[in-house]
Amino acid sequence: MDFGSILLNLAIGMAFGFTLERSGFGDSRRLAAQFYLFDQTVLKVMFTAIVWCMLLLFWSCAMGWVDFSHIFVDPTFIWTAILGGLILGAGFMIGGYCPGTSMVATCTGKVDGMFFLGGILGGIVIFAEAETLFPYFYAYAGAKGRYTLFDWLGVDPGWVALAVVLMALGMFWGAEKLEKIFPGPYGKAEGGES
Amino acid sequence: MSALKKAGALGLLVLGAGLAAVGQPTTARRLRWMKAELEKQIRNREVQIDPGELLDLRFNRGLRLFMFDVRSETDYNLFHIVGAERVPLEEIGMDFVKKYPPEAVKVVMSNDEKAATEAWKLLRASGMENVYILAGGINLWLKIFRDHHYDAKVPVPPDPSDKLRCRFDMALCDCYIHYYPYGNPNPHHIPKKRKYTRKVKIKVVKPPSGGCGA
Repeated sequence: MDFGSILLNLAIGMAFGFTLERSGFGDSRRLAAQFYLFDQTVLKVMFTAIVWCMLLLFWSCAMGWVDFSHIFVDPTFIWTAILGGLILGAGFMIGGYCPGTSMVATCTGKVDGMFFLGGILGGIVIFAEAETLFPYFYAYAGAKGRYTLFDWLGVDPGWVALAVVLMALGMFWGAEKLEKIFPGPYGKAEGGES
Repeated sequence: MSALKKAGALGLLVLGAGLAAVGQPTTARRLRWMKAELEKQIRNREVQIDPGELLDLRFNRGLRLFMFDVRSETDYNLFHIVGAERVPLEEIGMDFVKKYPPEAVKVVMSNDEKAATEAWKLLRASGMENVYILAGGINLWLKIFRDHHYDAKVPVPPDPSDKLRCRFDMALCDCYIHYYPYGNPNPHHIPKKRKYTRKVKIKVVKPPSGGCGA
């Protein structure tokens, strides 16, 4: 990797961390509130970012500025993704952070964030040591390679993008309704209006 | 709902619907965008490799080589270079390209160069990297390795008829290749080493990488 790429990665990482912190994602109570339905900031911020990124990327591809085949797509491992998602979701609910937000919390001096990050590092070490016990499941369970929604559905990515936009708008509307139905332990959640 | 939220939702909807209407670029659309660049490479003969270079590539154990023969089934059955895969032009597209590793060298061939050039353009427009054309096509290959004209020059401009100019008595599959050894010539058994300008550039295509830790 050349020096310019390192600097670019550093700048993007700093911007990402700053945005997460400014969105209130350095606070485990706000993050955990997502699961108690009275503060949907996480859903709204993350889904907005995902939808904008998707639209910008596929518009760039449609205009010929970006070649989608050169974009990294995480390989699909269906069963490991389900298991990993369950573990991450449980950890998120219990600890109040996901890996990126625990980093943000650590950087702002939050002790719970530091412990969570320590737990992540410990988990990585345990997983790395134990991985040889289940190599087949780890490497082959539901392996589909580069597999996207439009590959699965056999339609143009534009239609999938439109469906994701509609889903996002429906979820934003539903999230606002949920915040009204579940006012939370302190009445209206802090910063619930986003 | 505030006016700002409504505007944002409308903006997302318009962009999403527009994207569905425009669609992602097809091979034909990408071919139009890349036309000038591809024509320039063809005109400057940057991608037409000499049969001697292909012979050396076939015996280079340090790289992966794929050969695409875009001639008619009849011509292919009459004679083809051992290891060449017959690929009809209409099969070439993004799905076809995905099957081949980007770092491998690919060589496309026809009887002369006309069909191979069309195929090369389609392959490039479909996103294939490291792809070249066999200069002079199968006709020049046969002139060199069957008729032993080791100094035969690449015809420039190539014959536009793109027809097989050699006569074969029967069509033989790869199993009977010993009848047509010039389909699989061994560079060590060729009396005269052919001189050529090396054109294949081994590009290291770094696989895209990344991930999310959020």
